[in-house]
Amino acid sequence: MTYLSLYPIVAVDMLGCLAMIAIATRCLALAYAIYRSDTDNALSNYLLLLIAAIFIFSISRSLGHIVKYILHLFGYISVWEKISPVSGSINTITFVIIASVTVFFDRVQAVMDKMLHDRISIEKTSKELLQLNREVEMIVSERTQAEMALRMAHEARNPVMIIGGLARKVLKKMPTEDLERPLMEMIMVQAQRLEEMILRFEEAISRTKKYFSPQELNAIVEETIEFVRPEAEQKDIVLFFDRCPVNLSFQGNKYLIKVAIAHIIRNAIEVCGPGNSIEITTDLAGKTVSVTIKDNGPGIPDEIKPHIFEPFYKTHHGETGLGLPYVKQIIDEHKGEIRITSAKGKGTTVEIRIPTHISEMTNKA
Amino acid sequence: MLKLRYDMRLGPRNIKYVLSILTSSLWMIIGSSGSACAFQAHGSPEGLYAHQFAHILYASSVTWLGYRIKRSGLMKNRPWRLISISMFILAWWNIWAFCGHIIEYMLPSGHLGPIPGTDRPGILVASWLDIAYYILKFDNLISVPALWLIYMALAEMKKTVK
Repeated sequence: MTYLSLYPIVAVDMLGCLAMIAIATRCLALAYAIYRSDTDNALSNYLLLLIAAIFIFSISRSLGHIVKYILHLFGYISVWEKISPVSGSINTITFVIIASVTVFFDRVQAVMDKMLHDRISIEKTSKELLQLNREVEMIVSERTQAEMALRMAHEARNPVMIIGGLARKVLKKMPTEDLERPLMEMIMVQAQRLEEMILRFEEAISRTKKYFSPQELNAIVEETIEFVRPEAEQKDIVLFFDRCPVNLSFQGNKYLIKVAIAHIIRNAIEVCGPGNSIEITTDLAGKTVSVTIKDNGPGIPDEIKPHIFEPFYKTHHGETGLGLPYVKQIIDEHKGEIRITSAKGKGTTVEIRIPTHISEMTNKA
Repeated sequence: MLKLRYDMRLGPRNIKYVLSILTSSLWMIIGSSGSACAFQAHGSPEGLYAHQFAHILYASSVTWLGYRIKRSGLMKNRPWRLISISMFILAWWNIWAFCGHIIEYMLPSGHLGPIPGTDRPGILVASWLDIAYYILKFDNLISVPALWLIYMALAEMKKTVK
């Protein structure tokens, strides 16, 4: 008959229970500190809940075991027999509590994923808007500069040239000992300064061409569609993109073209309703690349058609805005053309054509 | 494209269906019952069964949680990896304890008691049941490391938060 002592079991159990109480208490304190650092974080909230459940389980189980050994040690076995079912029941309840807490993990995870997805989306959009804003600001300031330069050059070039020419003529004829000569020389120097200034303004005009670089129309259209897709989905409108299989390179400004295409698609989204569709097609025809935006919406009223590119033209249907005139301005700057055909009740088709090479463009200045 | 959608919300129409199912079920129970009792007493093993079922529930839930953490993007973080491992260890502890309770229940009554000639508590080793019981009693060797892993994970998390 072999007997094994139960002391090793008792020792391991006692030490284990004490360790569990200590570790579980420390875990709860840490989980609470993590939660306090970011009370709005769904994951830290969940973690605190889970650790609290594990803490209750650890304390309940360990105390039960310790109380049992203490009562046995002092000979209160009958007391333990009375307490035992209560301790066991509490343990059972703590198991169920832990199981209940685990159920929430999926919900928390879903919330966290959604938040992350939204944050990425917002970051992407704000980055794009910031970039677009910078580009537009740059273009606006450049345009202002160019317009100013043009005006100044136009207004001042001829008088300055005349003053400079006459001053040189007079100075040539003036004797070197003439007392007025230094004054005349000063006039000539100042006239030369003005001539140089005009030259600098003319250089500013040529700088506008810097913002035209090689672009790819398919990529621009794709990016624009992704940008406006949520707006179409919100109205239950289907967006189709028939991408041209070949590369559609052209010289231009990516952001301006994006603004123009986005505006036309947004116009279509605005007038279309649920069930309508917008078809966007890119194509290459000879020396031009094209993008066509076709919708099956209500179409443009005949009354507005001739004035579609006029800003703030009033009809009884409403008033035209600045959008389409701005689009036309952008396309004109790219030496392209924009055509709008529309039939009432059948939809509207907007076709934009842009030359492929810079050689096709002439300096507008 | 046509999409079939089932309305799972508890709207007025669905409440009507749920209520009709509940009413007819209740009617069937009332109509088919024998001696009707307000409450029923159960046998003494009820507590043990409930405890064992709770062990199964506990094991299943922590296994599932460990698996869900493993499948989520949280596994990129070491602390969550540790929590996932600790959940699997806790599941293992539950199975261990579950088996322990069964063996304890099956153990012959005279096998536990003082070792003859001493007042030291002991166990008579007469079959594999006694050995299994002895080994299974060391369940803290599983539960404590599981908790320790959770502690390590939380300590690491705490370092990363401001």
